[in-house]
Amino acid sequence: MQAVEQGVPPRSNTLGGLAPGVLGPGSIPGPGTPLPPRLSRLPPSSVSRSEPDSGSLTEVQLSATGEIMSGRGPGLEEFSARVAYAARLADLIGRAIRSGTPRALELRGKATQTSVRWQEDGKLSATLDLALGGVREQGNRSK
Amino acid sequence: MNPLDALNSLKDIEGVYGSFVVDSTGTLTLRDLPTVIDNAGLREAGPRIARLWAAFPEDDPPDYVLLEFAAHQVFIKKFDAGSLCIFVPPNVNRLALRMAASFVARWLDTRAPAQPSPESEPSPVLEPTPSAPPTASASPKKRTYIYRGQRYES
Repeated sequence: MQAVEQGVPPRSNTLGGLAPGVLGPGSIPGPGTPLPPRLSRLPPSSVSRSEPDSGSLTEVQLSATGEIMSGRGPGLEEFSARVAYAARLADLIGRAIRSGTPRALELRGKATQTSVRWQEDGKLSATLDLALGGVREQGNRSK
Repeated sequence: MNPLDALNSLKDIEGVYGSFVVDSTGTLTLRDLPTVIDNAGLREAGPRIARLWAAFPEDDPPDYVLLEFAAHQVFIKKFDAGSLCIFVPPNVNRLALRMAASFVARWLDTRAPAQPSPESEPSPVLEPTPSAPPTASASPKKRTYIYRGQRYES
């Protein structure tokens, strides 16, 4: 009996300790009693920021000749024109510096981020998203 | 710190190959790159780089552009007086690169030639020595500069 009592850890309000009232099954913590970590509501972690958001603002797929093959979202026409223009400039820059055809292009503004990808058949796919932090950025790189 | 030192500081970021600067019209003003990349190509690319910023929405000030190629990427940071272009490997630490690029861009802005004076003149373009092998750029014995159409050696 004494040996068992010696094995009980001391009660404390530290992170590893258990608060009074939560030891027995069905016991209700009293007011002001801190919940154990597994029951606590934790603030959103930075990991959640790397998860895909609900969707891009605008998406478009352009043919090699600049025609809109599919797309959705506000400002689709204007967005498509900007994508086509930026992609053409990127092509020319790649040739000038002898780097070949780009594989992807990212235009990052203070509020928005445009991502363009070149496909094998010359088509372009592009998305317009709200610009987020660096965690999101690394998530995009892994695609 | 001189302009070349500023560009060289970007190599604190692991993997950075080199960089160059074009002004707001796309004119090449500064370079710190291996000799395998010649100025002719950079001068051809410059105006296109300057026009890239027009592809941003009017109500969203541009921050940077990242061009991804098969073997490397070009990170282009906009600043008031031009564009800072950095050649990096695909696995570069982007967060650190963004910070370093912002620092150099701010520094370049402070040296913008708004009021021409000997101290605020644009820095010369370092012309690669044709005879130098690509690996010899780390310790050149002689540097040739072209600045405002004149060739200088140091």
